[in-house]
Amino acid sequence: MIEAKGLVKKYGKYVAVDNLSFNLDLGESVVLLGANGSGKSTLMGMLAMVLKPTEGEVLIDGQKGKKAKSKIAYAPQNIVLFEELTVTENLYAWSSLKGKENVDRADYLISELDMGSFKKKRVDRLSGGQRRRVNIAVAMMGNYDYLFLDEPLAGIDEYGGECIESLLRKEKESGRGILLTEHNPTILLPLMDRQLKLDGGHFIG
Amino acid sequence: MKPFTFILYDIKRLFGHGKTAILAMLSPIPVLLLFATFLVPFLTTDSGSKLSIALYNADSSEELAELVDMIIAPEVADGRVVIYPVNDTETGIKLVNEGKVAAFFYIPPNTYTDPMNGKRAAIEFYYSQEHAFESLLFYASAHSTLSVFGQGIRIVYLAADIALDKGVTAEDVITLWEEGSDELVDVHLHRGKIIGKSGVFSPGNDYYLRFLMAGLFAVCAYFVSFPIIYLTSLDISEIFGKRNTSKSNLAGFYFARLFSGTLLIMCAFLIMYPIARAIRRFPVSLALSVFPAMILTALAFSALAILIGAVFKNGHTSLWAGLYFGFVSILGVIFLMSNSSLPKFVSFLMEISPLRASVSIFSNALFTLVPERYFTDMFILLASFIVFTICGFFVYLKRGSKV
Repeated sequence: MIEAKGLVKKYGKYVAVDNLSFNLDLGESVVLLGANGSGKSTLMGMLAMVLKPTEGEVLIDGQKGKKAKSKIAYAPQNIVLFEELTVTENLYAWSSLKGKENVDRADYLISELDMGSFKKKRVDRLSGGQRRRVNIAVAMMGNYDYLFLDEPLAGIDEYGGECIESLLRKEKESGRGILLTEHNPTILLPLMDRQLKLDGGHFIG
Repeated sequence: MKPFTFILYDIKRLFGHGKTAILAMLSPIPVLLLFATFLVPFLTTDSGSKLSIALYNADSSEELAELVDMIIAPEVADGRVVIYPVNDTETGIKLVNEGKVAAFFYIPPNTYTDPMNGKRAAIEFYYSQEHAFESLLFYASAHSTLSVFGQGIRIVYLAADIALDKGVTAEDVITLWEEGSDELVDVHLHRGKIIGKSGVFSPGNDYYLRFLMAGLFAVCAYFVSFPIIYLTSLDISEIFGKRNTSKSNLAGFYFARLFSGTLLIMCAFLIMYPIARAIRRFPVSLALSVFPAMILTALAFSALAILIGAVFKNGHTSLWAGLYFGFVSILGVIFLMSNSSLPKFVSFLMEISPLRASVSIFSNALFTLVPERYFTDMFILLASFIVFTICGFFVYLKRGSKV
């Protein structure tokens, strides 16, 4: 279980997230909804342990630090990939960084996210939607218990959205906890157990 | 990931990053060509700054005295060199040690006659560390002139001997000797034709050219490291932090980048070397001393580039930092190197600067080889490499894993 208590994130005088507490169980799926600047990505960044909270703490299965961090697969909103490498090379590189090079897992994700037609292309030559899919696949290489996707459908076409929806359904069935952010209701909402709305760094519903 | 895969992917990234690496590698070519076309004729007539040299000529032959005069006179006339004649080696060495002269030349007895008898003339040369560049370049030039004349005179001498054996009259042999010697002098003085300069080319006239060519080697190599700076800073700010990269993986990335960066700079050197050789035909036999200098320079500059990229996490800021650092180093090396009025601390920084060591090692290794200076520069480059690697490694790990 992920437990966050009293999370606050300040950038100078600006308060991006204000005293939020949050829980996520294994097998549960939650979506954070809200307009731009509402604090969704900041909250997710702190829960994924890539952003340091100004106040508060995050515990994953009662643990903090490196071991806790390794239980989370996180795809940030910004595309974070080795732009000069191909899709396959990115998947191999990131999987081996998280353990050993997992060819089967890479093949599975290429198939699930329908990336076969561009798997040998360099990432910097892909469209925005294709890059988004690679960004998600890279996050999912390796062993993890919780999957965090920050705006996974941004720039994705309808078919790409369906691929992601199908993949998330399988992830949920496998017992992993899922946390998404979105600013509009999307085809992923029916999959979610809970919806949390944010505004000005507070939960509003 | 296997270390080899780490390196292979990093080489692919560095060489494939928007073609900047390829451009960086090829950019020294137009620089060297522009240098050869426009700057070389200007440099070979420029008077530059004065170099004070103590001279002790223990050879009593008139011919050698004339030869030494021929080497020195144009230097003195052009204001590049001031000569202080001394009467023993102790005084000469003392003047160097006291900083009163930059270098001391000792010409032992029989220097002129030894080459005719098949012996090697051994000129001794002492210099102060502060004036290592100019002193070594002057030495290289004077040494090459003396060697050329030594060999030439020996051939003329042998030719005259054979002519005497074949029954040519003594009068004709003297004519042969005089014309042969004159021709030798004439060919040597007009050797500037090789680089398109007409008229008399005084023996030490190209040592600024040599120095600047070595400077271009080092400076171009430094600028080739800019893609390393940029990509490192981008990795740290945009990738590692956002992907929860562990410290052990960061260590792998660091050493892969160090290796691929070195390879990139080495590629630039290997492109520059034949072009520089086409401009100024330095001896191929010295390649054995040039290549270790290239490898060590590439390692030191690669480690420095990663350090700059890791310190300044924003890509553009890191590039500006690299540019300013390079600019200050280049200014320090080129314009301040002979200025003995600098504060001691600044002089010391200049002495241990890797860019200076790189310029020094190339000016030494490309054209001649003075082992003592060569190994000092190698040591400075090696020490720089170690310091930059240790600092860079820890900054890289700290910044890359920062939450």
